[in-house]
Amino acid sequence: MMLPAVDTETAAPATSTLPEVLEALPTNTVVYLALLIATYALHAVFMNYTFGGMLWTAVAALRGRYSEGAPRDTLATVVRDWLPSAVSAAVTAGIAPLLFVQIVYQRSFYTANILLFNRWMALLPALIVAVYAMYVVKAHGSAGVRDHGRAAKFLARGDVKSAAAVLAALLIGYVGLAFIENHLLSLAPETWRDRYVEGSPALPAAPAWIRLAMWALGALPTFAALAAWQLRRGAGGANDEDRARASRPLALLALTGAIGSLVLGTIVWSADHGGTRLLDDSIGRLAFGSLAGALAVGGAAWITMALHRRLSAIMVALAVSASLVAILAHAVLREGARLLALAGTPAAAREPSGLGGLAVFLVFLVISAGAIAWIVRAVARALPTTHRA
Amino acid sequence: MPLDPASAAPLLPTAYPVQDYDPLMKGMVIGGIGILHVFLASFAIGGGFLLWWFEWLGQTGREPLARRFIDSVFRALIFVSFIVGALTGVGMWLTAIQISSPTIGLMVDVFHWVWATEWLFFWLEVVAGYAFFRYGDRLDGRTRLRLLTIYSIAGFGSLFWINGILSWQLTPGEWVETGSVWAGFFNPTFWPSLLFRTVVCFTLAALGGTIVLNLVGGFTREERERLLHRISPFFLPMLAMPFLGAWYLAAMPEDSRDWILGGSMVINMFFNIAVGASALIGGYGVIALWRQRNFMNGATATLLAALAVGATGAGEFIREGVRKPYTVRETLFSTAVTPAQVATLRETGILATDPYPLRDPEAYPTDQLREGRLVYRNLCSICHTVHGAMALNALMGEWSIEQKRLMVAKLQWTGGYMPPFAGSAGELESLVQYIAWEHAKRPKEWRESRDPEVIEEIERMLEEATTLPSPAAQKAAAGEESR
Repeated sequence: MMLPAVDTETAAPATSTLPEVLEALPTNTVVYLALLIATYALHAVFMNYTFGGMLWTAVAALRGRYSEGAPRDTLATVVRDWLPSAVSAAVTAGIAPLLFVQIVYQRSFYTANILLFNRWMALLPALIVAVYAMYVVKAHGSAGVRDHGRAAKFLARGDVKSAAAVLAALLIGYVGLAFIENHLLSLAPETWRDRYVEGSPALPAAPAWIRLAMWALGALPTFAALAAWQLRRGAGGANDEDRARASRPLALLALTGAIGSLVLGTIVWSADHGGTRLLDDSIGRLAFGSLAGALAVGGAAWITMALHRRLSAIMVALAVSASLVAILAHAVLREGARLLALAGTPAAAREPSGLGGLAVFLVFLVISAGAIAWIVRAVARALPTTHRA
Repeated sequence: MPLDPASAAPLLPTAYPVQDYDPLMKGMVIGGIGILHVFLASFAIGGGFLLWWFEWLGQTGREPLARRFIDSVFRALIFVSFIVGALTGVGMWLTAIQISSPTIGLMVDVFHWVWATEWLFFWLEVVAGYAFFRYGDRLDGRTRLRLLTIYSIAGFGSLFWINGILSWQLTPGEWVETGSVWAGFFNPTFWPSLLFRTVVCFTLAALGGTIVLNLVGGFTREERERLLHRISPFFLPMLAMPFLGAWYLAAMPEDSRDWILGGSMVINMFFNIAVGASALIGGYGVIALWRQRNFMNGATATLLAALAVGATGAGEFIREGVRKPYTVRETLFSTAVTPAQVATLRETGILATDPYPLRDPEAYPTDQLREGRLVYRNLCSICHTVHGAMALNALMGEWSIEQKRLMVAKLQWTGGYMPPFAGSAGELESLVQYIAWEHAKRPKEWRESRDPEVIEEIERMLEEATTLPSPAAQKAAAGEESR
């Protein structure tokens, strides 16, 4: 009997191109890969809002925007109010890519988890503390807190909110770093043995920090676009003046993020992955071109909005659409790099053993989507426009 | 295409690096997170129904205080269950990967679409929950009730789906033959487990609601008493617990049931703790609160909730314990080796497949001890430590060397909860020497023991033990003798 020590049947030879790697994979695996990319992109939408929003909130808190008697800052208030929900959505959306990555890259993902051990597992308490810190920032004005005298006074203090906002931003950054370090370790099976013996270095290596900066900067255009959309929808009672005031800071944020993430993306995606440069690959070039194009279109929309000091419907829609395309392109590049790096290794993409339950999933997908649509509609119908967000 | 369990052999445990938690046992790590998660998730699921009940009482004019109570409890649900509850759920996955990658890998392989379906219910729960939390006070009664209906169904749905996967581990049923996902999902303990857990959810919701009621301000003593009586029907399902428990026990494999009912002192003790704690909670809830309309203050409610944590913990311990020697019955031993792989590993040895060296090879005076440590790491450390919890030193240290060889070679005969030894005779001798060396407090010198006669004797014992688990091993051996 052959021992199933490693899954090698589906591994493509090293130094392949992406089309070759994909062609060598079983159809089921390609479907799961597509689902991994799609659900990761969905997760990234909420993650980007959370990350950008956290930075925005931290800066607003440090500027005293959440203190008693602070000048009206509708955007800061809206973002603060929506952050806990956004992080819940990010966590919930993150479950699906976490599931599909276990199906496609079981060995490399599990091994990286185990090797990083406490540094990886620490993301859970970090995330829990970060969410509670977000609620501390949000607590002002909450009836439940107002009723509790001393606690309410403490939570309403500007310095407490600043500390909580900075702490939450740092912890969310840590969570991002943990995921990046895990991902990078999963791409390097040749280092696993040494990493096991020597343990993890005190700090993640430079590539992890570069990627963190790339993802963090890349989050900003998405955050800016979604925040602009919220203001357009009248979130927090936003009026034209609020929208005009927010247009230039948001544009600056989005443009900084777009340019920064594109520069760092060029460095990251042009690196060698399994003997192939992703940007030399046809699929890689297409994805990178889409990323650059989306960022350029989004950038143009933001420049227009900044010049006119107006968050117009068309430009906001363009910025949101461009962000979504950029996220999808990033997700494709990320999986492309992984496929190339692991091709020909025992940790390559694999075919799942079973497929049962798909029909039931599809049925409940329709039911759940319908129920969620009903909830959104019911809430929207019950509320006046200015209170919807 | 359904999964063929015979070909579903996951990677060998040696494909993954192993972390050492000594003095903590790995089960304690996953158990700790698991108990917290189950407790909070159960509170959230039952809480959905409790809120629905109060919304209905409020809207039908039966309880004018209902609205205020709902606001208080819902905030607690959001602050506790949506954050710690949800994230410990993710934590369960990540911890399972740390503890036994092949096991969680097999579960994901078989049930990923079930998990994906559960994910849809998470979405529903989060969207309905936040919609109610943010906008509930501005919605009309019908929409509020519908939102809570969706929230409750979604919460219960997540229990429904995960219950099928967890109960499959103990009783995979016809899945073992057919490989059908649904045969595995609707396995023999699915329904008793689901109903039992549902009762637990209702109970924890009642206790959680009582604690919140006592914590929040704005209610007079009379109002609290009145609301407590409204909560008390949620204790009534506990009356069904003895019957559901009996059904659950009856649906279990015979050996698992025997351990609970006295075959294993530890499991039996936990069973008694769970029964005793549940009886106290149920008795108080049903008699004092529902029947006699007594008042329960925050301290008493917290004490009962602490008892409920004890009962939940004991229940989870029993669930994990009675699966032994498997993590997925008849499919994957607790060592993460499949029954089919044991025979091969007896020939090739487990270490031939292990790419990860020791981190501290210099700490061991001989190669044989280094090998022994590696065998311990791959085959024993999933359930044991050397000097901490379930320590091999304490369990086997005092045995003679011959006794150690016999007990490990016939591991599944030593105790039915132990899997058959999945290594070669030479590796078994290395393990035995390693345990003896640890018991001798790690002396600087240790004689290698590779006597061919000893190895031959071990091979004979291994053959006698067979590669089957208990009691099939004993039956097979008896059959061999009679021939």
